[in-house]
Amino acid sequence: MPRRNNVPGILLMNALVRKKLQVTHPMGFHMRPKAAFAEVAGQFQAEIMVYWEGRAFNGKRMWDLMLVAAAMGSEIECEANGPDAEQALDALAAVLALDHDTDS
Amino acid sequence: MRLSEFLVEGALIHDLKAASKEDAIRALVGKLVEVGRVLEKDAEDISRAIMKRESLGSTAIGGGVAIPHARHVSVQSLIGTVAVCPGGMPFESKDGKPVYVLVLIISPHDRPGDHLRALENVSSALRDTKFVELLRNSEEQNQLARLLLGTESP
Repeated sequence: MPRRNNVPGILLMNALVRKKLQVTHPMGFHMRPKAAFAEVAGQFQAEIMVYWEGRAFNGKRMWDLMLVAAAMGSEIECEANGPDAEQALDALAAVLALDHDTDS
Repeated sequence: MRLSEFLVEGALIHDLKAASKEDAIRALVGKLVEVGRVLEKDAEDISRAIMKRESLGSTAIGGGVAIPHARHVSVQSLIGTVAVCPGGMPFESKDGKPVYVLVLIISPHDRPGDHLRALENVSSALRDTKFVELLRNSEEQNQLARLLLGTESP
């Protein structure tokens, strides 16, 4: 596993990681988790892509995520590319896992 | 759910004047009552549900567009309407900009797929800033209707 640190001037190893995330909320990947997803993704340096039904979407853009009409029981594949890719995917997995409000 | 399948043509508002989010939402729900798609007795409850959803996070997604919505027991199928606020109004948008186009969506509790598809189709149509500009410049309800309901691909 590449070493990562925050010391300026030291070359950071880029990681490209992919993870399949399950959509478990009865309302699917609705607007609230989409907004949380975009906001969390925006906190990381890594590029974030979401793959769904054969198409690619920019995970940092709410306008792109609005097109991901993933229903409960489906999965979206997330890809992070950058020095904090693994942390990004962990954080994004948490967004979906924690989406369990009964209201929209 | 394509726009033409759920937008109530008679409830479109081309010149919304609202002082607040709550005013705007009540005006939109009120229009649906006016054309008989929502019962007057349900209007208050629906408006409250939409405001409650707003309190969890603004539905203004940037680019001058907001998509206030709620599920409600009184609707059997997803319905919606659109209001254009030509002068713009504050909607706590993440980009800090005013909202010019509001798309209200009320869905039944048991059709989550319809709701997701409606969000998808609304976003697909309104991501085009030139299209939003055309909506903003609509001078009458008919023009708004033609733009929203007449230009979708099958």
